[in-house]
Amino acid sequence: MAELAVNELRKSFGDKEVLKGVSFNVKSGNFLSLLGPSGCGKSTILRIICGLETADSGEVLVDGRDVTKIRPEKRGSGLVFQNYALVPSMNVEKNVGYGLKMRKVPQEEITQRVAEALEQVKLGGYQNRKVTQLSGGEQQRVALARALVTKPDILLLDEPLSALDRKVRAEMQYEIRSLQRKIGTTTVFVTHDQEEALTMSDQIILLYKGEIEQMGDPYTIYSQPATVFASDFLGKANLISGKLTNEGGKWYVAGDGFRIPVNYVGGQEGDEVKAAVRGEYFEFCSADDEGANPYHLTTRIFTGLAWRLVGTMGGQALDISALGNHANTLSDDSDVYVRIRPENVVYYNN
Amino acid sequence: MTSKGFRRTMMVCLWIVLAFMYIPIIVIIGMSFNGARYGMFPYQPTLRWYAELFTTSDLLPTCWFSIKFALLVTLAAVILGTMTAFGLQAYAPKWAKRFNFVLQLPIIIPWLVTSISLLLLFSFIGTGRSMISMFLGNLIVVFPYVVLLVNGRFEAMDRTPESAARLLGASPSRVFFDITTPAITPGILAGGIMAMIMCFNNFVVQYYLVPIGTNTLPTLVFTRIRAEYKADLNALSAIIVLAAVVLVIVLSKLGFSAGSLFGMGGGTKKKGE
Repeated sequence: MAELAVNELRKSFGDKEVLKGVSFNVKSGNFLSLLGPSGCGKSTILRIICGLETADSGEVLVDGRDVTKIRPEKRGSGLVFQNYALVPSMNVEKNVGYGLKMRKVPQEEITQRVAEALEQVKLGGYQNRKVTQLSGGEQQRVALARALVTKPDILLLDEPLSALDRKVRAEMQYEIRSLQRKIGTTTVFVTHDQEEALTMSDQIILLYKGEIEQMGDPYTIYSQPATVFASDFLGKANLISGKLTNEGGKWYVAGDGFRIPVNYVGGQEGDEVKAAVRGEYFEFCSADDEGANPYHLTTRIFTGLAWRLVGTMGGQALDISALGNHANTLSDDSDVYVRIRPENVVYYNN
Repeated sequence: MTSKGFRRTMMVCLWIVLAFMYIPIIVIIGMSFNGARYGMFPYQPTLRWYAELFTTSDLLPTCWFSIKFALLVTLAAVILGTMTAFGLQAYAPKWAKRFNFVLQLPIIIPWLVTSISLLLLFSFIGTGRSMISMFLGNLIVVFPYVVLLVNGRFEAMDRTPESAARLLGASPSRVFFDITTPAITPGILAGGIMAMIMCFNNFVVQYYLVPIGTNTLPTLVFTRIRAEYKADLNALSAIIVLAAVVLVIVLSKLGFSAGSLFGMGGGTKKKGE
């Protein structure tokens, strides 16, 4: 268990600047996700933390100790790779025990600790299997056991689940998280999958083009995206253009045929702004309810979990996501009323 | 022509090529047991040539010398070639490609040209025709093949287990022996076999660089065929063919097929799987 801090990391490959001064810290035992599209620099950050890559400037601190110049084999961080990175010439036991062997742990203790680690990832008895004969999910469990058996200060996970199919991935998400809670290792998880980040993390850092867009707990990041990019990347949000208005001390984003309440965070009355609203925060209401806006429903699309309603509000496109019991009775090309709470709306200057 | 007829023609073509490749070898094995003068008919079964080969003939000692020489060259080529391929991979792909091109270029330069220029060079630096010159000359000729095959293996292998081993506490040299070497062994074996064979029968280079008064197997065979033809050469050829067949069988029993050795990953799994 250890606290991790990263200060002002900068890194360029050739003339491409992939990290433009990234700083953050992770409390001991926390699970942090670095989330962003490919090329945002998230994997580079991970490789710098474990020492496989050197930063052009900036520092990495583990429990306040500067490890920036320490060679990777001395850092004591465990990394799980996207493609598992198991050694094909060794069996499961040798793979998992390799780190202990390098630390000159006696053979009996290695055998015992490997057995325990395999038990933890539910692969008890797999010691003598060839790694090439395991399924993707099993290989990733072996990789996880290999990273955890040495009891690393920091556990780093580099998109470990993206090569797995959907069902195995969901199981592994749950297992990794519960294992991490049990062991309490400080963990940094890299992913481009917003759902994965939201379900697994204590804390999310959203990265875009080598810079931090937003930092926070999953709920805040999702419900109050700080930038236009954030609102779009974490599940598609609707962006509605309007003017910032103030009526009787309350603030709204209003336009032709709609008025959405917001919590005031800055700006002047009359400013052209964009409001970001997630489709699932709308609720149906009647015309005379407080905050009701007319919504024209063009068509309904069934997505399994919910209905996706495609329509317009005041002439602007607005997608609403509604559970079955609300949307089943609606018909295409109809007019209804919807409203939303101000805490679920964020607005940005144009 | 129907497609069936077309396919059949191609299949016949395969048989003709196979026959062309193997009939001479079968003939020489047959002739090694023929007692008739100049390997002519009528066929007289005999073991005379084998007896002569193992007693009075100078072929066998020279053959041993050539084998030992080829092994030495192979050992040097494999070590240097593996180090070179590793070094190549440490460069960014753009530069690795350029270096690789420069390294492979000598393969297409005729040995005749290489040999003459080497003889000129060695005469100039004073080693002339000597064992050291012949060693270096053969090494230079076989070296690109080792790099080619080992580098191919490097490019086909997944490099992330090496990073993983570093993070688990292994030093770079430890990683090389524990992780990298097992993964590139097929390439090293293939490169070694290639180097061994090319060095063993490289007449051109050896003809120019062999010390006066010494013979390697190729130069001895060359002078003997000009002077007189004796069938103990057939006996030696038959033994060499047998040795090659045994080598191939042993390798395939060890799990290496020609495809997995010389291919860019045939018989092994693709990256990341």
